[in-house]
Amino acid sequence: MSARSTIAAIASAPGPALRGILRLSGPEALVVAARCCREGAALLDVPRGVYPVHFEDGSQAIAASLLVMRAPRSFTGEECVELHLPGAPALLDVALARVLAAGAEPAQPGEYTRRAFEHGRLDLVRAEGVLALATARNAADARAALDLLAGGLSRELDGTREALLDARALCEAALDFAEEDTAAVPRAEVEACVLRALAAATRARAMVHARPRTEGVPRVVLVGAPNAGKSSLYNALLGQHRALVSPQAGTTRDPLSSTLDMAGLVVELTDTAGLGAVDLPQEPADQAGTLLRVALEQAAQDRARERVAVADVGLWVADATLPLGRAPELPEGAARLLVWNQTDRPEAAAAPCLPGLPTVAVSALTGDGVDRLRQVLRELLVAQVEGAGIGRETAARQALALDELLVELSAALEALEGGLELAAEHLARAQSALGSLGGESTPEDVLDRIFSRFCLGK
Amino acid sequence: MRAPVPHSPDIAVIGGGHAGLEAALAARRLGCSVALISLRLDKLGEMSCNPAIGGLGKGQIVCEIDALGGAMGRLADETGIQFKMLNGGKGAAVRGPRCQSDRHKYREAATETVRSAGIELVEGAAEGLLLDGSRVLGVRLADGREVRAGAVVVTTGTFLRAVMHTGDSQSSGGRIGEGTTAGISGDLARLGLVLGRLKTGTPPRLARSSIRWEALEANGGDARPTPFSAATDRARFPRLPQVDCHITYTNERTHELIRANIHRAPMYAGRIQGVGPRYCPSVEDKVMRFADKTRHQVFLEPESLDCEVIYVNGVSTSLPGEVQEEMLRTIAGLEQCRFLRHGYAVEYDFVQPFQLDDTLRVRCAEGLWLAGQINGTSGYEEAAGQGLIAGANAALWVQGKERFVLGRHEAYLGVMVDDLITSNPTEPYRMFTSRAEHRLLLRADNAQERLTRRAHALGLVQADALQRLDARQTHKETALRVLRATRYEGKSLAEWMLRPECGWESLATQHEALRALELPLDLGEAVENDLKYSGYVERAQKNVERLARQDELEIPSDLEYRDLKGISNEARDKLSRLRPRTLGAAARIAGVRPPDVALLAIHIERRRRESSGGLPRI
Repeated sequence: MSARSTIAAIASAPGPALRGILRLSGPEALVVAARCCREGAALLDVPRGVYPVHFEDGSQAIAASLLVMRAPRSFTGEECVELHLPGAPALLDVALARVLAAGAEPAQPGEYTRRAFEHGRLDLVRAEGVLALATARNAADARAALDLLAGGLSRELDGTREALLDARALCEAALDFAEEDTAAVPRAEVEACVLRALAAATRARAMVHARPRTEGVPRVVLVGAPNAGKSSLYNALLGQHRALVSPQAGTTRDPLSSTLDMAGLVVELTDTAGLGAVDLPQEPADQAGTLLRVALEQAAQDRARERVAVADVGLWVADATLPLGRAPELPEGAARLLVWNQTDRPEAAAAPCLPGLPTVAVSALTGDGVDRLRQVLRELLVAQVEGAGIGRETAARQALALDELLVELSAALEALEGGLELAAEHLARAQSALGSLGGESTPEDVLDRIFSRFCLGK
Repeated sequence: MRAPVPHSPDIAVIGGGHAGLEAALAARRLGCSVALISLRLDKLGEMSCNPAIGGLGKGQIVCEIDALGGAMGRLADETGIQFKMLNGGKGAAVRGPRCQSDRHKYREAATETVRSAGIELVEGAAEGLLLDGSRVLGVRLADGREVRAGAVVVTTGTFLRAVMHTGDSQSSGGRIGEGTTAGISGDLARLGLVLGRLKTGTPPRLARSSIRWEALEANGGDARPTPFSAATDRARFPRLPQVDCHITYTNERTHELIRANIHRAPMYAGRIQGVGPRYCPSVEDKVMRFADKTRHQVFLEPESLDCEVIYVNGVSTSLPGEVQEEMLRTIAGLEQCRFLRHGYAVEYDFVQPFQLDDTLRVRCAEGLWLAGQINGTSGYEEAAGQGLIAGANAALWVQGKERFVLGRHEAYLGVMVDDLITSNPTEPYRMFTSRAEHRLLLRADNAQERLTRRAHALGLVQADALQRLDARQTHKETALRVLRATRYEGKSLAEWMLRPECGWESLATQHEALRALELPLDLGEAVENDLKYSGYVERAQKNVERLARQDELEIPSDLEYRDLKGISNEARDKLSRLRPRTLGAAARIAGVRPPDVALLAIHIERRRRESSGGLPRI
């Protein structure tokens, strides 16, 4: 087995918390950590244990704990260290950037798991499970991230990709078709394309850095039929009366969100309007009033669906006194948890036991089972976080890839002075950086563009 | 008189084109007995289209073939009548050597090479494969003879169910005056191979004496020509007298004529279904697709030093003969031109190459390799390179030895084979330097350094090639030491060399220390290139190393992607169709994402453990 790289990622749950964990694994894990700490070389040969260190982020030293696990007695079976830092997301981002600069590489989705498995530290079933989750989570993550930015980021990335393809096509046409009279490409034209790409990439980067603070905080959404008791549960989970509750179906119109702290794990909890047909009041009402009510209800349900579509966890709230209806639709990769509510009522049935669907019986009214619900929810979220680099880490990877993209585009611009060959190399690297952001392009794409633009071939 | 059929050679090669020759020669170099079957033994190494070898991407392939002991570079050096380094001013990694060849002398030299290599030559039409189920036992000829062989390499070019088109007339055949091989096509289909159809074309040939040369712009070769082959004696190069090509242009009258007759072109009349190459469009395509261009370049290339035939590069066409004549006569210098042969289009079968493994072996058969245009490629160089890979691997297989595979970072040959087996070509595949993601590593001037040692370990090259490489590397190291030790204005010459305006040649004129080394210019430039690219090369190497582990992990050939839980549907579709051999190849398929690759890796490991029985199922 050849020497492997050392990888790094944020290992704590996304969102503000008491402390944040940066995990490194690989032959250089300790060396990289030593480079980032004031204690330096003194850390190089320490045995397994926890050490107080000062993490230097460039301008200041931050008191931190360094957890050292030597190979093979670690999660991955490799040299492994964890830096436990204060849990501020911004600080963790900086710290991650710092260890990457010190020689670590960003962990690919599923990479810790794969290494752990390969070193026999993780059994197969678990490894497969975790990775299957990772696959789903990535697609959902990317969509959610883009959704959060109202499509702005993907638009800029598309713009970058287009301009970059143009620039490469111009360069490659000149390089691969030297004998053609058509392929005398003016440098200014290539430059203009690179500048266009640079501008779009710069805007994309600004967007990634200006992400709303909620980014990366797992979104837990209460979903279910009207009158199942979602708002009561919302209040019970928060321990305060935030949402208006009433026995009447359709009381909740606008989605309502709050931050819920579950022993250090912060999530965004959202209450939504019930989905499904709503019973209209029986008393006679003028027709206009009924129509207005239906329209309002429709709008409330639309907004509820928008929130459900970006949920990381759906808490499916069901009325224990009624037959279990159809499961609400959740986005791909989102976890589902059935909350069997209103168990305080005498006519309540026993909670169903469905395969693959964790279920907790509660009474939002009396508070019975709510602690248990918090606990199950927390476990579910932790499992998701361990599953892959997600949330904030996706953002960190995106930022890193965008930085690389910008560096390569600038280098291409500079290299153009000396000719096309090296400029083309930098453009190709920029393309591969963009590829890791989901803007993949292949050599065929470049050739397509060349042939659609130039009349080539003797 | 027919030669007797050889008695069960180790390898039978069908086809005597560029792929067939290199396949036969490579197998022979590895010590196998080889029979080469060709429709016509007077056409070995024929250049059926333009009389030129090399070009961008292609020239690098020729240098790689040479570094692996192949014949193409040496033959081109011996028979070249104009040598030119394309992209001479644009940086070494995109420079491609090219030459005009005397196609008659090339054919003679190629024939002499196979004869003297001890390859048995069999003239005849290969009518089919001798099969025992999916095991290939040899070749059946049209006259009833059989050649039984340990393995078969098929290099039938455009001859599978080939149809030639000129205007409204069609005739069966892969090349003017020669037949077709339909039987092989049927056998390949019976083996379960999926075939596709492609189209290519060739321009008219004119009589030299009918062209008004004085009206045309001459286009000569390099003042200091560079040979392809490391073995070519620089002192006796070039061997043949050097000549010019000439350039002229189409004009509005030419274009009007084409537009007026476009309905008579087989492509536009719908008589051709095959897809033609975008990089080598017919003149009717150029005019129709790029209507705003008022003229197109036309190169007049001699097919040999002394024959009458002039190849008219740039006007590939399948319009009716009389239209071709009228059309060319609108062009300056060609007003009185006499046609020796009209242009035509060829449609032919090819085997979708995703059905091959990375040695170009047919996956669903035993003992069968395919190389050249039959795999959907275009070009002599691409064909020759595949021939070498297929022939060498067929030989290694017969001998029970380890396969010979080149990585994408090692050679254009590696890029080509990997591209072919992980995609379905929709037009004939041609090499472009932009296909190589490690382009800066794959220069024409470092082909020996990249490949010759490995070739020697396999037995593909003799000791003399290794000695040349050793001598070359010693010279380069000495030069590098001198460059590092000699200082000028506070900087070493090696540092000066990194500046774009400084090269070996310019520094050598200023510094006696370099002149004293008496290095040939191309070797000096190779040193310069090693230095100039060192930063890029280092980074590329790192990338390569990172990917190497994935490339080493083999995917079992019978893996059922259906059973793979968790991977995306797109990845599942592509993986089950393309069946990559290694995890690295899987990762390169568009649409296969890192988590898919991780899951695949784990699945492979699970199977390994289950089948070895060493560990209980977890």
